[in-house]
Amino acid sequence: MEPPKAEGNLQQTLKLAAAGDPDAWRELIDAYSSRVFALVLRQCGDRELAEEIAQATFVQVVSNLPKYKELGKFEPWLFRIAMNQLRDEMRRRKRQAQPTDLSQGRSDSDEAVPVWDGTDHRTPSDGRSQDPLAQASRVEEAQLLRLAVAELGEADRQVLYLRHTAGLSFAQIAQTLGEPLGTVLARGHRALAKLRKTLIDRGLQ
Amino acid sequence: MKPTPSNNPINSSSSNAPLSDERAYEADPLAAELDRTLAPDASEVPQDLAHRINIATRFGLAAVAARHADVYASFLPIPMKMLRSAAAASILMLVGVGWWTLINPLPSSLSHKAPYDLARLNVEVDALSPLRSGSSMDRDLAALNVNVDQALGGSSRLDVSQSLVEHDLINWESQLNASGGELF
Repeated sequence: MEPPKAEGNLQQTLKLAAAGDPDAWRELIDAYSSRVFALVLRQCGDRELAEEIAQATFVQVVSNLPKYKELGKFEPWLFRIAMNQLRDEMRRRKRQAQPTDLSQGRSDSDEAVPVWDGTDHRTPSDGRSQDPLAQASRVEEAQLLRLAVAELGEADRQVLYLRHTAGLSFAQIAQTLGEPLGTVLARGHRALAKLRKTLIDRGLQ
Repeated sequence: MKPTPSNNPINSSSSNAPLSDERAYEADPLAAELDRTLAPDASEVPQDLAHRINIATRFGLAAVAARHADVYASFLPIPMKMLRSAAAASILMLVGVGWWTLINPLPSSLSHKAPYDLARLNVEVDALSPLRSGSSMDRDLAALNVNVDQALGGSSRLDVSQSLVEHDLINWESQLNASGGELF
């Protein structure tokens, strides 16, 4: 899970965007909008709200970009803004976040490709057949896995979404959540353990 | 997920690894499965999301660009303003000094006026009557001293009787001798 831009390029792009360069700004949007959208979508399950939050996040980023000091923490800053936007919007709407709608917004076909690394992990060598029955089984398993994630506690879910949806490292997750790295790592391990137990309990072996 | 012992992400646990070990987390097959399952994919992200965000942030970016330009503008004209102010101040100062110089002659010590006035004094001394009585000469010399003081602006004092006038008296004497007269 590589970041979309090399660090030096990101710094240069941020510098240009902070000066109002439209191309650099568009580059940032292209690099991060999908991840912000997906992160919010995973947490609220509402595509419209996810897009609204993604837009609000970038509006806030662009207005604060001139004040942003590049210390290699752009991604934690960006995703923290997104999460705060989502939290504030949820409070404003006075409603609780809906459990992730697993049928929404994802085709789960084998053609689906993670946006930021462009590599399809689901190759036949993974032991995954192109057989339609196997594909259906794969879709169902993925839905079960996402449902199990959605049923985790909020803190555990946040770590998993930031790690696997936003593509942050654990150090960046710690910066985003403002918590020690060890705490975040331990939470990640515990989340995996809970997830494994849930899946086994449901008959997935 | 095929439930084979070799690649089953659920049963293949790395839970014995230290909780603080990020590599152990990454090595967990379930984490790899989460990568595949939770990662955003092109099919779920609206195709024109980036475009719409770009439009939504257009005004914000324009404001940023304007602010950035203002920041530079606030830096760049400062030397120009300072230069303009300095040039204006210099011109005003030169005009003022010139005007003051015209209406207020420089002190004699700073100008070449003293030699000119001394030359005038010589003329005046030359004009004195060589046949005056001593008392009259003293009075004229006292008046000359006053004139010399005024001519020199009070910055320098010239003893007319000792230097200038003596020199001229010698001239007068020689002139008188030449003309057959007698001094005092």
